[in-house]
Amino acid sequence: MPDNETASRLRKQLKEHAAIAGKIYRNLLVLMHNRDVITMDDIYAKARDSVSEESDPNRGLGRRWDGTERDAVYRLVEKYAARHLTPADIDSVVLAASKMERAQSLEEIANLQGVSFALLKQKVEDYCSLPAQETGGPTHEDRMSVRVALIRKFISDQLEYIGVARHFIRITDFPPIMRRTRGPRGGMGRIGGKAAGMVLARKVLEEHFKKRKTDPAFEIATPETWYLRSDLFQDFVQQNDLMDYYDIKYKPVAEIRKAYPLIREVFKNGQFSPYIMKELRSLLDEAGTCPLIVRSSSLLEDNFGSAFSGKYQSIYVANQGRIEERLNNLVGAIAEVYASTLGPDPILYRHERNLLDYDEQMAVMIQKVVGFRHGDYYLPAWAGVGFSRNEWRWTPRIKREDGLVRIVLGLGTRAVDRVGDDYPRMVPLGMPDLRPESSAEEVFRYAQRFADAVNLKRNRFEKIPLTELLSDTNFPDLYRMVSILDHGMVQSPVTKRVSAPVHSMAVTFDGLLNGPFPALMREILGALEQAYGRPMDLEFAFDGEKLFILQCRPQGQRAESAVAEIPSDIPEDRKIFTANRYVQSGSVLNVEYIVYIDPIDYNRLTTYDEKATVGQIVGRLNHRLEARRFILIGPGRWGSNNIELGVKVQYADIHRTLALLEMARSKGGYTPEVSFGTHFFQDLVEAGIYYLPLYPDEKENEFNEAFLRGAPNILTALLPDAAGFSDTIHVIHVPASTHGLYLHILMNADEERALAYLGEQKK
Amino acid sequence: MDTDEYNPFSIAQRQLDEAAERLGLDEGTRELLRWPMREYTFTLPVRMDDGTTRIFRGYRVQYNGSRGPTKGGLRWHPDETIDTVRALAAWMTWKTAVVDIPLGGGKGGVTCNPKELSRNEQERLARAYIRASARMIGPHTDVPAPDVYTSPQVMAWMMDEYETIRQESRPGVITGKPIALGGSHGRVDATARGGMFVAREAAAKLGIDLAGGTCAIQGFGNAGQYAALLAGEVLGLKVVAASDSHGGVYNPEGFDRKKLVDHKLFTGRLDGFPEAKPISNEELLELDCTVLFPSALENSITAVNAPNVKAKIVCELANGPTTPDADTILHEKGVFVIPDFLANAGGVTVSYFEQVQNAYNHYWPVDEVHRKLDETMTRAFAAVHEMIEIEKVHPRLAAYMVAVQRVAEACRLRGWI
Repeated sequence: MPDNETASRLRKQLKEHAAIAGKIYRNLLVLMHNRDVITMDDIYAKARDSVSEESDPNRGLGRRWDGTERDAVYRLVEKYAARHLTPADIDSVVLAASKMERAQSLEEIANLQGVSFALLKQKVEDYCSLPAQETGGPTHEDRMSVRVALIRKFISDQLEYIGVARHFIRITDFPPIMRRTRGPRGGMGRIGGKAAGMVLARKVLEEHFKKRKTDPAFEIATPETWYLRSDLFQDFVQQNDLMDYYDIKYKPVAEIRKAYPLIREVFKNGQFSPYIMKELRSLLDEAGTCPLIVRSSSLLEDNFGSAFSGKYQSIYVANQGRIEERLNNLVGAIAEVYASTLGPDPILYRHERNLLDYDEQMAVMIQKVVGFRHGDYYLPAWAGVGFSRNEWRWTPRIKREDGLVRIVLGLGTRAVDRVGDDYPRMVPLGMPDLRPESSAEEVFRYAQRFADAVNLKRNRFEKIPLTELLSDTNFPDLYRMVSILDHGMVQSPVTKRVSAPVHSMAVTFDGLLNGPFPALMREILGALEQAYGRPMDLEFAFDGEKLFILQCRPQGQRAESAVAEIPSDIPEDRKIFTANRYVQSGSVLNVEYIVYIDPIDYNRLTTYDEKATVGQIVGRLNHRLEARRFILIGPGRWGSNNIELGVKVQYADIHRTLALLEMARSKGGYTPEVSFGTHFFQDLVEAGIYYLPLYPDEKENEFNEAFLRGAPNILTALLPDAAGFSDTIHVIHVPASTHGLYLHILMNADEERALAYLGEQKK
Repeated sequence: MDTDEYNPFSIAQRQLDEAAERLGLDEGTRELLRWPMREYTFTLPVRMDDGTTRIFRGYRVQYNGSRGPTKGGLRWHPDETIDTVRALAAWMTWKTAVVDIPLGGGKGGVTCNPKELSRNEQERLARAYIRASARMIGPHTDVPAPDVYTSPQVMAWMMDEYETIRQESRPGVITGKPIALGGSHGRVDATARGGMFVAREAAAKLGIDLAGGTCAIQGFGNAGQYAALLAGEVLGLKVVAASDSHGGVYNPEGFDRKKLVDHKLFTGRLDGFPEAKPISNEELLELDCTVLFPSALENSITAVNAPNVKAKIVCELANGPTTPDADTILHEKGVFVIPDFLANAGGVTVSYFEQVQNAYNHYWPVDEVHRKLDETMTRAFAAVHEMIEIEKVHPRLAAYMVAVQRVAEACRLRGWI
């Protein structure tokens, strides 16, 4: 080799990277071939010539890569490199070889069973510590293999998820997440479904907005997040000897429901190891005294097709006071999230999807709550949930694919959960200022009244009347959120200065919706749907400066139901009811049982216990009528927290019904809330349960009260001890009451009409 | 049940006939008063947000302008037809006449569903309506106002379009405008306040001392809520019961009226108000109270429950709450019914004040609006009461007789009949 600077650089690098010398020679050879310095064939020919004895046509060629010939090739590579390459070329080739080597090593480690998180993290950081370079190094395919191995090991093993995520999540995205991941020493686990959705959504949107030529109207961000791996959950269960409680998942729901309060207490009293306590303490040091939300992120959660929305707990921690107190509250919240793996609703949900035998493990995501301090409270200006497909369409002008947003002032819990006593603003994103209320009074009445926030002084999550929260009109972004009722008009403020008395304010978001926000949300939801290849939903919050993405998952949906033709020749005496509002398309045929809760009789029940019992009986009927085709008809907003507003049930109490029909009666005083977009509604959608509100007192609607009240009531036959409620709860066996007919419900969203009638059994 | 019996317009037409009969109007006059003077239908092309054009059908009926420019609301409703508009325009004629403001009766509408129109589309529709009707309306010809599903904002767009066409300031072309654009103070509670003034006058004539008396309010929309607030302020009455579509509340000691209204605004319903017993709408109508304010639905007081009504005065803030049979029963029982088109004429009266202020380009403080409203309503009641005394008829017929006589007189003076 000529003795020049390139040669000495090569010697030095080969000495330092002796383990990958072969890779370095190979890369140099490829580089020189590509630069037309010398072809590979020429190098090999020269090498063979230099080592072969006299040519003997009767002897076969020697092995190309025997040691002698290889050494000859290396010497030739050194010689040509010294003559034709620069020292920088040498460095670049060595870097590429190192990267390839580390990529292979990383992939091997990631694919190994029993490897620890610490080692994997070390390997990822090793790989990422090498500077980026434009040529050489691992190929796209190499990198893809590593990404897939890492995603599978650390984020999600769901194939559908990996199939999408590998196009967006790069190896360099892992170290920041891993640095914020906590778990048992020497262990290995994943960060769970919710975290997986979050990580991917962030990457999808980063890519999307990178391609865009202009900045989005709001700066998009994600909250500071820490992850507790799924193996910490296992560790916790083992350490506290909680395995015994695991069998409960195979018991009937009623038993689980009974036992769950105890399980939750036992979990909350569980201990974490000193190492984990130290880790959590350091996490709190990093987080400071910002309020935190401890979110479930189980391995099954947010997977495609089983969104588990709202099944597991998410708990706010005010995170105020002395470190010991903060740590104690954080640990309690984590344990409570762990306990929710054995809650009745998620167990039932898993049972229905044949997921009960899966070894569900609970990872946890701890996020800084997005918001700001306002008086004693901590909350975002506004927050909510967006859906890329809108199932809430009260006019054909609203397109399903334009998406929907449910938005509230304050924490988004009021938009995500079904709250009986309040109204989030529902925004069809294609026509954002369209709303079902017209008059100023209606707009005012169907506006949000309370906000959720973290009370920093009392160290807890609270629901606050807006009259209290907004009494100081310096609330950030207020002018975009409220409208003022003044002389019979509801108008959004003309300027940022809001000077009206708080009692005249209605939260309408008219100012916000009049700007770029709806189009941006539509774009975001569209980008997510395109990346995932399926409808998506997204939780978001705005802290006065940035729009934060909090959570992202596939949207629960039923297969597109066919529009039913409503027949015009059904005799009057065979009609049971008609409906004309919020009708979705589809058919529910051959209904055998009707469970009818009479709104007026329900209203006559005077005590909370009596009303609660009605909900419990519905739950028992839901069990008793298993495998039967039945529907539920009854007053008000089912599933609401407020028993005065409707039958108090949970999803588990109604999950076997074919349809839920909520009744508004002027006398009973019940109004079905538009429940679209809530977790409760999402449950119905995922389970394929139709939802339809009935307004029997409207002149144009028919309602055969005589049949529903007068047909033989078999409640006592099914549940003898429920006899005391047979005035309120009517269970009708349709064929027995109609000489063999069945109930059919036909729904046509295009015409906004539905008809339920008695007819022959259909095939 | 004969559905016609419960159709408010049919009732109104029968009452017109009865009044005409009592007044001895000739056949030609009766026929004139049975029909609108002018009716317009408009085809309104509106560019929708998605770029398509949709055609809407609009109407304007100028029922009778003998006493002055026709006046009446614009309704945006999916079921709107020329028939309903025509019927309501007739009502406006009697209403403006009974309170003796120099206006005729009119009404308009567009067949549309505002719940399916964006704000921009609503604005374009409002402007299209004015472009189509600008030649037929104006401060001195026909003056629209808000009605079902049309708001002060819609009035503002319409006024702007009209002024753009005319190229001059003409705020009086429309009433019910936002205050900032020439609307009048005192409009929001005008209907309820006018009702209070005539109830006060009725009590005075009947020798009833209202101070410390009680009232019940059926229906708690805009008029009902203001009735609750003003019953104490204007009449000194305790509000002991109120109801809405969800049910009612009762407290014999009387409610804190402000809190009751706030509760309704806040929760959207009355039930659940503290320190109150639940009461049904039916029970409320039969309460023993000084004044009953039906403020919600048509046909609430029927031949069935009228015998049980114990209020001394029924002040009809709603349109058509009492059926004709019930009217007779109440009259025979000695219950004094202040008929709807007198009791709720406060709204159109303040609309008239708005026109006057627009014409003068000078605006009154709210106290002056209240004072003038009081004068107008008091004078109107006096005329009706005089008719009751002279003709010995029940108040509704008396009110019709006053109104019809005034319109007939104007028609004759003009030489129309």
